[in-house]
Amino acid sequence: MDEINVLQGVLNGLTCAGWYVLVAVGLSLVLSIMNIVQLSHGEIYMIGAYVVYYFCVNLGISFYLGFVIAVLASGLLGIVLERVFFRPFRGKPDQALVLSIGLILVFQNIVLAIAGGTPKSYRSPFEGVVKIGSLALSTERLVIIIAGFVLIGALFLFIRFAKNGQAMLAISQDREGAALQGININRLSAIAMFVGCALAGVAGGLVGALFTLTPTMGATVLMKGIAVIILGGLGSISGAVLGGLIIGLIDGLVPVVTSSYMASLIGFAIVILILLFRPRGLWGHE
Amino acid sequence: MLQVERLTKNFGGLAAVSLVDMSVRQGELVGLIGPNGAGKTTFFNLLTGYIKPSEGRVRFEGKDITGRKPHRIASAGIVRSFQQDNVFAEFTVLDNLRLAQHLNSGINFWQTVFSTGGARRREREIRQEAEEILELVGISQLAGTAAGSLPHGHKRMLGIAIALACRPKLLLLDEPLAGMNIAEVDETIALVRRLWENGTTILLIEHNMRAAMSVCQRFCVLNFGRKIAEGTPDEIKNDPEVVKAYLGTGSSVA
Amino acid sequence: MSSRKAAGFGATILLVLALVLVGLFVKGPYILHVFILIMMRVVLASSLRLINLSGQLSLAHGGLVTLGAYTSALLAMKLGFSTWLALLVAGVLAGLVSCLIGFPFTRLKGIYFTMVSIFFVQIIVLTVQQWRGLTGGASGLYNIPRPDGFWGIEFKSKTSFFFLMLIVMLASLLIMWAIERSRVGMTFLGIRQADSLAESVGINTTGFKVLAFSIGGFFAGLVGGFYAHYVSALDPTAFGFLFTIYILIYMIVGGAGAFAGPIIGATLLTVLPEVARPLESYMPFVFAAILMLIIFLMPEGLVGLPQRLNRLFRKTAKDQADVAG
Repeated sequence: MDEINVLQGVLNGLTCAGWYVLVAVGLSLVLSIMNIVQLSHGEIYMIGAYVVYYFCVNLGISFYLGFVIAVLASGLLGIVLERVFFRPFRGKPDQALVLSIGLILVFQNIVLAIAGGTPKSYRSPFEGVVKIGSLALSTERLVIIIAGFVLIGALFLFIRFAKNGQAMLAISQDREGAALQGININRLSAIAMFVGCALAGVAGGLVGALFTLTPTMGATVLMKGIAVIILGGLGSISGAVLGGLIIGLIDGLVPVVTSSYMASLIGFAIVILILLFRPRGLWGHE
Repeated sequence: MLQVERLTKNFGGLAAVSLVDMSVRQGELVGLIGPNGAGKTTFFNLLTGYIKPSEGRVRFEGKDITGRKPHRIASAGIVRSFQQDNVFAEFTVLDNLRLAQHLNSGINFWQTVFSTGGARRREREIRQEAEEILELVGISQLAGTAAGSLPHGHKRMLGIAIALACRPKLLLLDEPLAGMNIAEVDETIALVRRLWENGTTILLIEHNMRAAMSVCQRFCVLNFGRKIAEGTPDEIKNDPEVVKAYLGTGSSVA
Repeated sequence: MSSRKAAGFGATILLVLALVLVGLFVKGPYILHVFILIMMRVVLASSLRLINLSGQLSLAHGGLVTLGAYTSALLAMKLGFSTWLALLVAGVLAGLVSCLIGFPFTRLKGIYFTMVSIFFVQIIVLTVQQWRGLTGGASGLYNIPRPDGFWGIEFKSKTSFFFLMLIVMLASLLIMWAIERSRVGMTFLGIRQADSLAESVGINTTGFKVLAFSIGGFFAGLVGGFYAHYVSALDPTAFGFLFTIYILIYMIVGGAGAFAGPIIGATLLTVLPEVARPLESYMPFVFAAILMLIIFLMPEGLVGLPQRLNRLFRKTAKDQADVAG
């Protein structure tokens, strides 16, 4: 394991981090605003990728148009899910969780019925390789890193400065108090689902170009997202960024030495350790 | 019996409870009072292990119990009542008390799963003891009712009965009178006095000052997480710090 | 109440008798296979419900089944264990592993526990896929020995497996029922209703939650072991996330609140795909639809159906009486 490999591993790790954070932040947002573990979040990511595929390959129009539509469609899907499935179960988190499991089957099988089970792939327009000394990073990976951190930065600003963002923060800290202050939970839940799902759509659209698409591709991403938010602290956005960096770097660096399997195992072991010693996550305080 | 030294809890930068010293002797009935947000319930949570203190010690019967898990503190003999979620809602009142006798049931896993003769005999005794406690608290007529469907006052009484079923050495009551009507308040005060006369040591958080003044021998007053006064009811009533603290909140001491 | 108890007892005896008769007189291997599947899933869904009694909704079951299946198969194949001992070890090991992961997992409550329990399935499946030398990796295991014969009984026919699984199921259900109606079961339920209160009366809530999780894990491992020796082949993804979801669906659709719930759910939802062959490729969709309908319309599950119908009839009868009057 030489220096170059390690640095290459860091770059790959940052790519993973951008990818995981985009997914995990949605999970975290929905968890903290709505108190719902939305297990079909990985499927939103999958749908994002398939929409881009549809516009890019089936219709042959353009990646950019497909991408914009994928992001909007994911976000709107989020709003619909909130209104139809999750709102009736506010205050019943167990039932909402089981519903979201049902949604996993629904989304996977809708996509399976429409697009079929054979793996699909498309290419993004971000071609070429950026060279830094002897290191190489494909442009499409660089785009993921940048998109991840820019969008999360924007979300930060939104929460800090926008009125709705402040209200979201208030809800995540004290649900009952916020409701008493006349904060409109319905609207904020819809915003949380829109933003969270749209970010998953961004991740799906960008990462989809790196891998092959299958209807079950959301499962792995869901696991990573869960690891990230447990590590960073449940319901904390800055925690999700930190958790994403850690899990991402593990997934980038560990395979340099052994295998990606070991990376998953180490990620899992870290999550177990965190649960034992800091159940509120690295970033969460008591 | 109970010694608390420099007990402190910080949430973030805020001290919810700060450097509180206090003690309860065997056979006492002590009141813990203070305005809203003074840190009384946090103090209870620290004593019973639901929150780990940032600093300070809690000693019970000479043993250091600081930071122990709640169930171990219960088995050491300190049992509390709760303000909310204070009963097992789906169980009947009687079953609430049967479960609450967990510690002294003396039935192990295999005995109860195989329903051995010994276990069945013991369950009959437990049922009997439960009925006695209901009698003592005065809610025998409700034995078969689902706890969740009880009116507020009765739920509170059941909450006290649950704590009693553990045969506590030190009983911590968290605002037992809150939300009760006048008749229930009188009943509960009489009950607290009866328990104390039967030899239970009691530490009581209470908002209803008149009621607290009528039963407690001694008071400890918290404000903004600090102990501002300690003494007999008369001393407390005339303590300038206490008067100031209560004047600030608009409620009166006596 | 005691007449209802007697009715329940009578119905149970009749059902067991009916199953014995099926085993004695039905010779069609396909039908026997469906029955064996039903009985396996009944035990799995019931063990998931046992965990749920303590307020925990676990999604780790597939991992525990996989663990049990591979343990029993490998002990018999590589170390020459008697299949019966291997089966027992599989259950105990799955129980022990549940106990070990139970401690960190139960640090999280409610939906957070459910969320983290999903990990376990992924880790077990990944490990089985990677550890090729031992587990055969993605291609799986073949020629797993059938259960050793004894007293002249050979485990070759479907009928013999039917009776073996019948005994496993009855014993498992009996144990789970005994636990549920004991003080232990009562403690589980108390923790589910108010865990701080339970802790305050001296109940070690973590210990009891881990206990529930471990007992559930034992039965999952046992069924996994049975499957390995029954089908005689294993592949690492047979009991993955999807499988785990199905077990959960059996429990919820039947009704997690009643002992009969998972039994009813597992039975109906195993029979459904067999009688609705043309819909086969849409089955996951159908399952999801049923699950959602149940959650929206009848959250107590199918076990609540008689009561609802009863109420409905009484209401319509009353309406008619009102109209007539």
